[in-house]
Amino acid sequence: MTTRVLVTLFITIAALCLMFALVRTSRQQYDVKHGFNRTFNPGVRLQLVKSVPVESSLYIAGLSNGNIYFHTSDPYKIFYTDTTLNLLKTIVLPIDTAISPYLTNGFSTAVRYPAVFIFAYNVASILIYNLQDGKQAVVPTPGNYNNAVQISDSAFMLKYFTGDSTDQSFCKLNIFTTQVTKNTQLTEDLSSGGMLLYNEQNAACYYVHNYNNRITIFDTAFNSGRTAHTIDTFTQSQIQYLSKNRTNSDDMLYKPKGGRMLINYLSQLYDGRLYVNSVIKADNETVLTDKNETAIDIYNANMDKYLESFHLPVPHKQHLKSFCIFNRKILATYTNHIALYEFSGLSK
Amino acid sequence: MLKKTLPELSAILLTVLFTYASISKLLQYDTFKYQLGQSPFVTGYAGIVAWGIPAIELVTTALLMFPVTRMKGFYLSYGLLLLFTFYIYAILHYSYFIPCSCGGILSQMNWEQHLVFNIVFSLIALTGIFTFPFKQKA
Repeated sequence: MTTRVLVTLFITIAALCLMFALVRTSRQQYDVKHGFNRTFNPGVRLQLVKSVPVESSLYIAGLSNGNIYFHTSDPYKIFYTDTTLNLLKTIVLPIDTAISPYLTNGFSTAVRYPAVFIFAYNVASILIYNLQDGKQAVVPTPGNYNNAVQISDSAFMLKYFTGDSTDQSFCKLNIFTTQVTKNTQLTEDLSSGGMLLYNEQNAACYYVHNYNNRITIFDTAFNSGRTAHTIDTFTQSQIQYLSKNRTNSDDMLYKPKGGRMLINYLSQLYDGRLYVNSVIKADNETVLTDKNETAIDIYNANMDKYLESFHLPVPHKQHLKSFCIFNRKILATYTNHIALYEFSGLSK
Repeated sequence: MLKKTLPELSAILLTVLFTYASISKLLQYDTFKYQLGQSPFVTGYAGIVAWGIPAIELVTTALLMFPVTRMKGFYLSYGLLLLFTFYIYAILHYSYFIPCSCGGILSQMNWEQHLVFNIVFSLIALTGIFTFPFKQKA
C-alpha cells in the first residue's frame, strides 16, 4: 500500500510541476521588453455607458437592422438588443437535432438580418436560417474549416482544412451555386489560430494571425496577396534550426520552437481602420495593464500606418470574448456581462 | 464482492473513456491539432501533442485490458487525467482567452463541466489503484 501511495503522490507532483512549467513558460514571455512603443492619447478615454449582466458569455454575431446580435455557446440561441442595450431578447433557431451535437464548441454564428449563418466547423457546412420566412438551407463546404467571413450576399471566404500537406488554406464559397474557388498560394503558417476579416472598402480579406504579428491581406479573387505586420514585435524565437549533421539534408531545416506567444487576439475592421487587440505589453507601458485592461492598436486599413492605441477595460477575473466598434461606441462582451463604452475616436 | 468489482469496473470505465477519446481525436486529427494550436500553453507543441496524446491513451487502454498490466494502466490513467484536469484549470484561470475544447462527444461539455468530468475520472483511476488486489506472496 505504501508503494501505491508514494507512486500516486509522485504522479500528482509530477503532473503539477509539468503544468506549472507550461503555464510559467507561457506567461513569463510577456514580462520582458519587446522593443516597441505604443502611442496613447490621454484625451482619448472610454466612458462606460451601460453594463448588462448576462447568464452565459455572449459573442457579437453582427450589427444589422438597427440591432446587435449575439451568439452563445448554445447554437440554438441567439440574442439581440438595440444599440443602447435596452432589452436583451432571445431567438431560438430550429437546428436539426442530428446536427446539433456536432456544433457545440465547433461553431460560430453571423447575423445579417434576416439571414443567420451558422458556421458548423466540424460538419463541413454552413447552416442558413431566414428569420423572416423561416426558410432553412445547408450549404456544404469543401471540408472542415475554422474561420469564415461573408464577403457578399452570395459568397463567403473560408479558412479550411485542405486534407493534404498544406494543412489549411483559404477558399471562396458561393452559397447559391455551391461553387468553390480554392487558393493554393496563401498557406504559410495557417496551422495555429487567427481571425479572418473582410473590408468592403477595398474588397480585401485580412487574416490576423494570433501567434505572430503578421496580417495576410488578399483580394477575394486571390489575384494578389501581401503580408503586413502589426507594431507588436516580439523577442521570442519561434523556430529552431536543425543542424545539417543531424538531419543529413542539404537543405536548411527548421522546426517550431517551444511555446508560442499569443500576440494578437480579437480584431475588427471598421470605417477604414483595423482595430487589433494586442496581448503584448509595449515598452512604454509601465504597469501590467493586461491585468485590468487590454490594448487595442489602430491601423489604417491599408496597413501602411499605425495610428494609435487605447485601452479597453477587462475587469478582474473576466475574459474579453468579443468587441465591436460602431457609431463612436465600443461594445465589449465579457465572461458574465456586456458593456457599452463611449469612444471619442482618434486624437488625430 | 465489492472489492473485486471496483477495480474491474474502474478498468472498464477508463478503457471505454480512453478508447473513445483516442479514436475521436485521431478521426478529427486536423481539428484536434488546430485546437491545440490555439491553446496558449501547448501551441508550440501542437504537432507532437496531437498524435502523442491519442498514442498514450491507446497504450493506456492496452495496459488496462490485461490483468498483468492493469496496475500500470491505472497509474497512467491517473497521470493523464490529472494532467488534463490541471490543464483545464490553468486554461480557466491563467489563460488570456479560452480556446475550443476537444472534439467528439466530450466536446458537448463546456470547460467547467469538463473539469468536473476529469476530476470524477481521476477519482475512478484512484479507486482502481487502491482497490486493485495485491499480488499473493508465495
